[in-house]
Amino acid sequence: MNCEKFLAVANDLARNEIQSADQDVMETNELESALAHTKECDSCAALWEEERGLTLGLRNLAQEMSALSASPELEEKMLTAFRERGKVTPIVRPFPLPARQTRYWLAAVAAALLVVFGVFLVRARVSRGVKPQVAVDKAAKPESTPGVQAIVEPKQIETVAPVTPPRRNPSNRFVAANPTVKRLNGSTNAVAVAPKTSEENQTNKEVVTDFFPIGYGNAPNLQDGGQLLRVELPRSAVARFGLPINMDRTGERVKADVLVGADGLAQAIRFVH
Amino acid sequence: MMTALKPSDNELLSSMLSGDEEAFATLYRRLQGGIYRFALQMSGSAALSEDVTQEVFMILMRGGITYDSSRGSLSAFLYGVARNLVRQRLGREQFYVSIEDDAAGGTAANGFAGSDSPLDDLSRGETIESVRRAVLSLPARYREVIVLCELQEMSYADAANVLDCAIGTVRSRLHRARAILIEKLRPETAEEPAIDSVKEARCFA
Repeated sequence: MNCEKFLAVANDLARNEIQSADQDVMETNELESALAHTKECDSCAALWEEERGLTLGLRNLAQEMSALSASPELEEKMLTAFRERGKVTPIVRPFPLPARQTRYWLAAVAAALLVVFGVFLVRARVSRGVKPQVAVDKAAKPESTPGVQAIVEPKQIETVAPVTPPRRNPSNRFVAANPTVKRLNGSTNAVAVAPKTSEENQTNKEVVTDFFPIGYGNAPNLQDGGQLLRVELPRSAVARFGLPINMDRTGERVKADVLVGADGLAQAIRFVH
Repeated sequence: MMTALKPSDNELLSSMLSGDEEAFATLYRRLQGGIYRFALQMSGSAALSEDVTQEVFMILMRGGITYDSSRGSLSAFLYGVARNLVRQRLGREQFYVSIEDDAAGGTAANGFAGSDSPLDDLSRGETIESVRRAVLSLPARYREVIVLCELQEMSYADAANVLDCAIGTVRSRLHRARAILIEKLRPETAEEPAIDSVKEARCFA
């Protein structure tokens, strides 16, 4: 055995020498070899003495403290606690669920409430602040009407919802709120909504002519629904319907409302000033 | 013949959990001394040791079912519980050891004598007190192995079970702890060669 190996086993050597035989921590051959090395090497012998001294000191300390134990009062207390252990009434929880599970449920309910509240807010905002959406029916474009040039301004297109009740249909709500939209009541007579804004006032200042039928269309055809389209026409178109025109302004354009039936054909027209 | 009639710890535990007070009393008397001394050697405080002993057996009383006999002996289980409690308490009341360290000047001089200053020159009581102070001044992880393996005379396997670590870890910590103790207990007037040899030993730890 060399010094390096001895240093590695010095602890076990000291423990082995002092501990009882049934707690041997070293094999006999290794023990003898280590002890033989201490006779050859002075430094290892010195270390060996220190290890022995430490082990003896620790052993003395252990023996000194071996008589120590907890106080008899503690034993009495423990036995009393053991006797009273069975008498302890179980604590009834106000909530039968474990705390962690209860927390999950509370979080789920709170999340559900948040979602419902969010949906409510979004719906309220949509119903309050939606800008008018204009439905443009391609089939109702004025190209199908001869003599009418198709300059269609989307803002001026008026949607006529013929049958559905206004409260349940959002588009109908819009129709009721929008002053430029007029509802047909099964005839060519238009019913204007009461003006509320400056834009509405401006619209109300418009002077309109009566509707002039176009082609073979007649009033009963509009019972199936229709659309009122605001278009611009050459002023000369006014003369076609027998209305007087200012010849000095023939180059200008004039506004007109074209009543388009459900079949997409223009039924009537009126001019707007 | 008499030992065959002596119930094992596990049998006593089973009886205790079924409400047998005598079994609990027997188990308490059998194990409380070791638990108390372990706490005392770890903390140096009798009051803390009583508290820890009480808490250990209260835990056993309330939740002894958590003990798994396949993982180790009941005493090792209780030592493990005591170890955790002591560490918790020392974490909160860590002034115990540090104040004593300061009072001892960081070493336990004159406590341990090597070959050149025999233990016979010192009274036994002084030696024991010096060793006790030196043990208390060790870092907790080294103090644990010294208390378990040297003072409680536990095997490496049992100590590893209590500390929940490998046996090799116990051996290496014990080696290091002993080197620190030798250094602390060596008289300041000790000769240089002895110091060198210890330093060399620590290099291999």
